[in-house]
Amino acid sequence: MNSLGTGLRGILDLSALGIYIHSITVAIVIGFSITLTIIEFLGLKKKDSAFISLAKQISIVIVVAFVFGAATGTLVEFGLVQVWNGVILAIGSFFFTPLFLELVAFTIEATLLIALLYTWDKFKNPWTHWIITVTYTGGALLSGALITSVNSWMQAPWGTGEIINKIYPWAPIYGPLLVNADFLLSVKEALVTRWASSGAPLVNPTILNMLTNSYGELLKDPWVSLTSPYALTSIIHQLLATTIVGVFWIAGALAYNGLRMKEKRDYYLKLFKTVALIGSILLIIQGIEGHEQGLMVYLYQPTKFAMIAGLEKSGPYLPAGLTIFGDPNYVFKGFDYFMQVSENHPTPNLRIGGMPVKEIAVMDTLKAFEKLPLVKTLYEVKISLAALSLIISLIIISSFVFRKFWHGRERILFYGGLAMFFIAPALAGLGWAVREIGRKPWTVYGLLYPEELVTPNPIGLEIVLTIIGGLLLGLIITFTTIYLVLKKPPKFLKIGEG
Amino acid sequence: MDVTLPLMVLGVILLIHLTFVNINIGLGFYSVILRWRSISNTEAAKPSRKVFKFLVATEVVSGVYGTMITVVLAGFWPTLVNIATIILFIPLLISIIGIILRLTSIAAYWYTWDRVGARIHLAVGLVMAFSGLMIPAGFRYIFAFISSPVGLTSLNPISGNIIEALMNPLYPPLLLHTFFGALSIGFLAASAGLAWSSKIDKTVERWSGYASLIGGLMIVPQGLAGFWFWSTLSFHSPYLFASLTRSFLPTQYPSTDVSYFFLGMVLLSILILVLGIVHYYQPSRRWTAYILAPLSIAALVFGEIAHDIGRLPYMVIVGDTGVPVEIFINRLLFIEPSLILSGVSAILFFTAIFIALLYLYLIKGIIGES
Repeated sequence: MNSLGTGLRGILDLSALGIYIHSITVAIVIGFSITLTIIEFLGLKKKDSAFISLAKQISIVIVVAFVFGAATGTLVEFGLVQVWNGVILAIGSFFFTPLFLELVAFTIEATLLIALLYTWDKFKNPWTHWIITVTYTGGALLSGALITSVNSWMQAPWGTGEIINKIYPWAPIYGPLLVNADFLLSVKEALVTRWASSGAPLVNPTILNMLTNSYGELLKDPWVSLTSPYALTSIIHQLLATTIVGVFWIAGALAYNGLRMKEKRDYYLKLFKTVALIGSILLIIQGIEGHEQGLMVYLYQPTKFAMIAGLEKSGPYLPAGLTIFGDPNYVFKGFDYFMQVSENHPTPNLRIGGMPVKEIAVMDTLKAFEKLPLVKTLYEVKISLAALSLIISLIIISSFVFRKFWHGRERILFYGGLAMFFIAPALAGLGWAVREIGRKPWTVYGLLYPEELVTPNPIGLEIVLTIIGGLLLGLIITFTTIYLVLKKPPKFLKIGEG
Repeated sequence: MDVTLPLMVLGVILLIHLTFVNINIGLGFYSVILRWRSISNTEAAKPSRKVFKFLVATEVVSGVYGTMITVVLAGFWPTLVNIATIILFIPLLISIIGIILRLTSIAAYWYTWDRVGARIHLAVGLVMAFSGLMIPAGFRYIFAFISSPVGLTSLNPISGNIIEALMNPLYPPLLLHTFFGALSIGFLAASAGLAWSSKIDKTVERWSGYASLIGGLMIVPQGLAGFWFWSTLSFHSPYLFASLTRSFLPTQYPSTDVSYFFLGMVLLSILILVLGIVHYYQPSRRWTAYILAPLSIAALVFGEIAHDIGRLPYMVIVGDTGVPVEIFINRLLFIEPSLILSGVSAILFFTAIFIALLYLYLIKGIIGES
């Protein structure tokens, strides 16, 4: 099988760029929504106009980000169906339920976002507005959860039972067999035979109707991508990561204002400490949840785990050994083991697309191994930043416990908040890079390669530049708009009139 | 899988999407025209802003429903979407660029108002208005393609000539018909909104009249483009042509009779033209403007029903026959109707909430700016 061509490499990079830019708005929409819910609650509970003003400002930033998020989300969506159009096969099966439910979540988000913006101060009982905020936030979280479940299925294709293990002997069993194995293997066989020229044109009515006539439906359980343990853990992990970024962006902005405006320092300090406390608590929870996510990677993505742990050869990996087995010397399987079991394949005569599975297993394991230095480095940088952010979070929390000590030293807290403004997205970005690069060489782990799903149409430089230009232009306009609305908020929000 | 429910879901979502999209496109142009007039006549500045506010509020619905169409199509008819993404690669790219330009230029037009020179602001407005046309300029290729699949050379594996697909003879008249129709609907929606506004602000009354005149007169070029499209169908999509004219012209083979919807659209269009001119001369009679907007939406609905149901039982028409809907329907899994129905119900419920909010925001002013 051939290696990634430069064209495909470029398309992968372009997709990554699109997702990263989209994720900026996702972080604002989800992270800011959580903050908004808590800050509005505190404002109403304490009858504190400062909190309500902040909540109003957050709400208008969410609206701007949501509009741009809808634009970049459309780009990502089209990228999925137009550039990676082989994925349409999964949209019509494994992804159908989460994507259909996402439409409901998206409608709730869009509707209630407009409602919460235009109903500030309009209800006799202000808690009515808070209920709209909570419901909106629920819609935003649901939307994020459903999209994460789609990505999680590509990480751990739940419901495929032993199919992947038949090709890669080191692979685990992905739950009960909920797919039609004959159907899936026929698709895989057909894709492999067209490997050099994209498999996407095979997702056509002639082939799919012939397969359903021969074997029946591909998928027996439409809820499969939502019931996988990998998905459930990933949803919590991703939503926490996204929320932490959004929360610390608000905290960072408040810290910046606190440092810049001496006369309003106390005002910003109160708001900053509250928001930063939310972020710090979530960050500690994320640290605990990270263990669960790590466990899932260990169980369902052996090559990624070996990449993260740097296990060129089988051996101990202290953090995981201690937390999973309570034994720092526990020996984890490394790439030497994966190669060994691939070369001693239990069914060496089995062929897919005319190619022995032993050859496929050896070749793909080697391809995964090539990613080890990059993934290990990214993960180590991420962990270092996580340790630093944990220290900053503990400092922020300590300011609530040791109030006297921190009196007069508030600038340190502000600088901590400013640092987290940059560290939190770096952490999330690195985590996402580890998640995505660690999945390679597959798009659907152990099942499908990018080459099999990419469009047969050439993606020229003019298309790449247009998309990048559009994304960057949108990003600039979004931040300019956010700056303008914060500088001169719409009159109906009555910010500062409390 | 039975195709009735997926067709109904697609139909409802498509009609809601097209209604709002057409309104938005026309509103964008009218706001820019009024902005241009406001350079010499300051009285036009206020209605220009009002029309644009209307656009901003409704753009959310059209955007959300546009996303829904993609998911519904890819979920229910995955192979058809795959064919379209491969053969119509360039038109879809045009639409994507249009979406990016449209959303970003809406934000730019809003926030540069009175902050940059009038002519620069007008230039931003023109980008906003014309990028709205770029979106259907791409997507209308899909409609032309399913009426006459130009460019497709093989279904298995899917292959074709993506340049030849751009030469679809149905596309130019369909696009022109769409453009003029969108301008008509949007202008008439603006006319209704400004007519309501004129109850408390008489200065906007004449701008309601202008909008209804332009919206009404757009029926003339739309009708000509429609005639061109209709006659082109007789050569390149005879099955659809037969469906549209079944009750009025002899046809050689059975087809789905949508001729009364087609006739209804034509009659409604004539009525719109007449009432549009009437309202221009008597803008103080607000009820004509109130009637014109729903009439134009009804004409759109009739036209789309004729165009899209007329192709049944085929999804893609090839001459006087076609490829049935069932061929493309998703058979990869059993989709529970209860899941679909509950999802669509929730979507429609929240859309109704949105429209109620829009009504309160724009019309009642209860929750709007005081």
